[in-house]
Amino acid sequence: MSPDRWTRVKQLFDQAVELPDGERQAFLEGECAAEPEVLAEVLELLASDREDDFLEHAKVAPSAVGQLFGDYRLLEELGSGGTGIVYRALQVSLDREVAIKVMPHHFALSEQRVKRFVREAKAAAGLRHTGIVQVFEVGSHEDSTGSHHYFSMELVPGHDLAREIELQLAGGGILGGGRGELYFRAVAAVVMSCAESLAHAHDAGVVHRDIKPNNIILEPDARPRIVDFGLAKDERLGSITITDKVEGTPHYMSPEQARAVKGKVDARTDVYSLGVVLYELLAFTKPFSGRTSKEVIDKIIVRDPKPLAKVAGDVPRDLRVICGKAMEKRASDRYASAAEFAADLGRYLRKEPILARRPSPLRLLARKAGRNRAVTAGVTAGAATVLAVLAFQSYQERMSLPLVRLTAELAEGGALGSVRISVVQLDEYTGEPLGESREVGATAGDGFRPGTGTWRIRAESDEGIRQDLIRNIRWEGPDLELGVRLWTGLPEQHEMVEFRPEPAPWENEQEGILVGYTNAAGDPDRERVIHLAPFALDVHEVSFGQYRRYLKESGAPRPAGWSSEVVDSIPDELPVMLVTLKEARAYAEWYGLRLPFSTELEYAGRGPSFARYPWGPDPEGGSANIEGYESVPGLDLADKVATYLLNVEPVDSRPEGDTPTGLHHMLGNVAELTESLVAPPDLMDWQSAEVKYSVVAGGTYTHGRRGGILPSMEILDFGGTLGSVSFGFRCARSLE
Amino acid sequence: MQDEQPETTHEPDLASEELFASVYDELHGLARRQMSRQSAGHTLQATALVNEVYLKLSSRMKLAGEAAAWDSREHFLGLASRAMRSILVDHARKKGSQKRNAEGERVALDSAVNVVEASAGDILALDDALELLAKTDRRMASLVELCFFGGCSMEDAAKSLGMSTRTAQREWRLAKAKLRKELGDV
Repeated sequence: MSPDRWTRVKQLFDQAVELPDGERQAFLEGECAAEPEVLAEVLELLASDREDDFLEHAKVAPSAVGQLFGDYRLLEELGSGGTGIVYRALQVSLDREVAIKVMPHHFALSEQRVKRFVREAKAAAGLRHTGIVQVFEVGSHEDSTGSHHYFSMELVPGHDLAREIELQLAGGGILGGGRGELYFRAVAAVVMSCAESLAHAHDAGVVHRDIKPNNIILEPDARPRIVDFGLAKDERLGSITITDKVEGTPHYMSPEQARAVKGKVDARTDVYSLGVVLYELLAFTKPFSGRTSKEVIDKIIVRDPKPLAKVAGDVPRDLRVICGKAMEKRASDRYASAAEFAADLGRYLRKEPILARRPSPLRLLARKAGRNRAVTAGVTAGAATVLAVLAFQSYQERMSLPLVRLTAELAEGGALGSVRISVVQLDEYTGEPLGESREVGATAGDGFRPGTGTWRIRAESDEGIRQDLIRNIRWEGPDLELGVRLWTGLPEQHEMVEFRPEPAPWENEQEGILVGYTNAAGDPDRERVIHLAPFALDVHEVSFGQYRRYLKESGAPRPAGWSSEVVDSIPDELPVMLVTLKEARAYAEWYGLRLPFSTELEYAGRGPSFARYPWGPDPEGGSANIEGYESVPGLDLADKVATYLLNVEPVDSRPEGDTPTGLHHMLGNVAELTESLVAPPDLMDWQSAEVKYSVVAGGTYTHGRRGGILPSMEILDFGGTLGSVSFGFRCARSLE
Repeated sequence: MQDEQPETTHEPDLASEELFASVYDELHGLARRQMSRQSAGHTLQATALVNEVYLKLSSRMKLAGEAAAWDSREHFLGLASRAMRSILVDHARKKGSQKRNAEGERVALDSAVNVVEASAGDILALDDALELLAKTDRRMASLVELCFFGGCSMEDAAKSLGMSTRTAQREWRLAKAKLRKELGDV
């Protein structure tokens, strides 16, 4: 192209782009009717002219030292990363030095994104904790190059953990004095402190989502401070292109982030990422390596990390186990909260036994079997990773955990002082506490957000009267308004037996209690050693008489399943049935009790000797109401009730089928609702870890011989919207 | 366009070539060291690298009692951007051939090239298109080099080329359209 023509093209292009789209063609046709080649060239260029990030990757905010950004005079560039430039700045009005982070202006794309950035920044600004770098203010600044969004924060001395790792590798750093016991303890202390800070943020409903060494600043006295709370997501928006690359590092992404599954990113994602930070501090290498981000992401999804024992054999075993627990693929296998992660590190530091357990060989085997399926899924997922990452960005809204509020009264009336509330997360199947319980306030308080998973919410009066509520709290579930009725003694109509399983919890991993939740086939993969806290269990299944009395006393609505008057003709001494999990739970809580976990029923039913039948090892040694099943054909409720009446027995009948501790009908009669949740057996890999069903334990009168071994269990749809004529329940309570 | 100063040029004379070589080496080494510390996929922060090299070379010359070998920071930015472009293009070429850099450096520069290609498509095609553009409009090609490879701000790039920021912004918009057209709408 001749220089003259190019000059002409440039001139016309510059003029045309200033016009609205609709007027350009007419303008150009008028201007260069006699220059068809110029016209064609300009039109083609206009067609290629659009606002996107073509050639824009490197355009970060220009170095702006000396400039005034609102109230801030920029003094010195402290560093820059993919997400913006950090300056030391003087806040003029307060005459104090702060750090200010300026967003690269090509991130400031749509108004919606800016709005979200501001909203998120404000959430982060609300966090006050010594381990979190305080965000002061969010703002924007206009200049000739466009508008720049920024936020100001505390100016913290020190360097980040990424730098610390570099220094350690070079034989320096401020943690410990060279690699050894001192160093490992210093690392544990730093990570514990980070986990405590995260727990604070999580309690406030904020998830960091981008925990990595660069976001943790180590002060000269080795105190860690977390930066960029809740901002990480927005900073990355706009920097992701539809290619195989994700800007920033994927190494600290949790599997659920890598898989980009809606609604699955919660506080445990931060637990994972902090686990990776711990790993790197211990091993000086990242758990997953790869040449590209995609490779790393694929490995995060399907591979186990390089074992710490191999990569860094000098790391103390407890720290390796803690790290492994934090980095479990399934969020439900990790520490349930950052607080529990911190607590276990605290135990290590105090030289106490830690709570995390190495996965048993059986579980490793089961996991491996699950993984094979996962690998196939992972390969397919790989191709979609980038789109998935984009989806992940937009799906991650601010964490939404249900709020729990509690009211309390004395069941027998009278004045009640203050009631303390504490929560502890339980294993959703076994009911074992997953950490130490923590106080969340008093009944007059503002409510609390325990987190996702199964929680024991304990209300305790000044006089030591207490009640436990078991709730499975799900992401974005409804807020809960719970009422507690405290009983000074056991309600008269409940006769209970106490169990204090030995050995004491946590004493010895190998000598816990063996349980397994499949029925007669006894799939060994499902057996596990657990540690149950002391509990008491009803001697009898709850009877129709008891339940009717409860309805009268409490004014609770008649169970939805009792839709026919036929139910009213059932004698009082027979076990109640056709109640849902919720209805059964409401009954138990009215009397200050709770529903048992299936492991408790199993322990009580099988005893420490792990008997196959309630009465011992011998099938002929006793009997259960599982034989001689007769049915009345027909599907309506009257027919089912008729079958029930033909087969079921009074709750206090059949002493020859009792357990040695005198519990009736632990096997047979009606099966019993429990608080235990399991993933359905055919979906046992981690991909469906969030799909959970309630366990109904103990076998039923409908099962016949084949179900006649403990534990005999069925699985009920989560939340149990319908009762069954063969499902009843009995109550439990926790003991000191 | 009356608002412009006369066009300044940095024709590659002998001294300039020597200078270019030293900037190239410095930048190359720094990129390698920085990138190998980072994970794959980390952004190549051209601005930061260029600034660091500038400071390093300046202070080294100050220590040696020499005057800076370049006329101004703007002159340096031009050199550095060109050096950065060469480093990445050279690396992309090597990738195609059997010649290999050391492992760490290869990984580091691979990811830098990846980052560039994320927003520009094939880097070798971009290099060719820039050569072609330079034949028609050398200043516009330099602008792309400064902004894209050198990570310069529009103000710095404008100063370096002796034009106003407004002109630079106009030129940048046209340059993008032109290159996108040449590259077949990436």
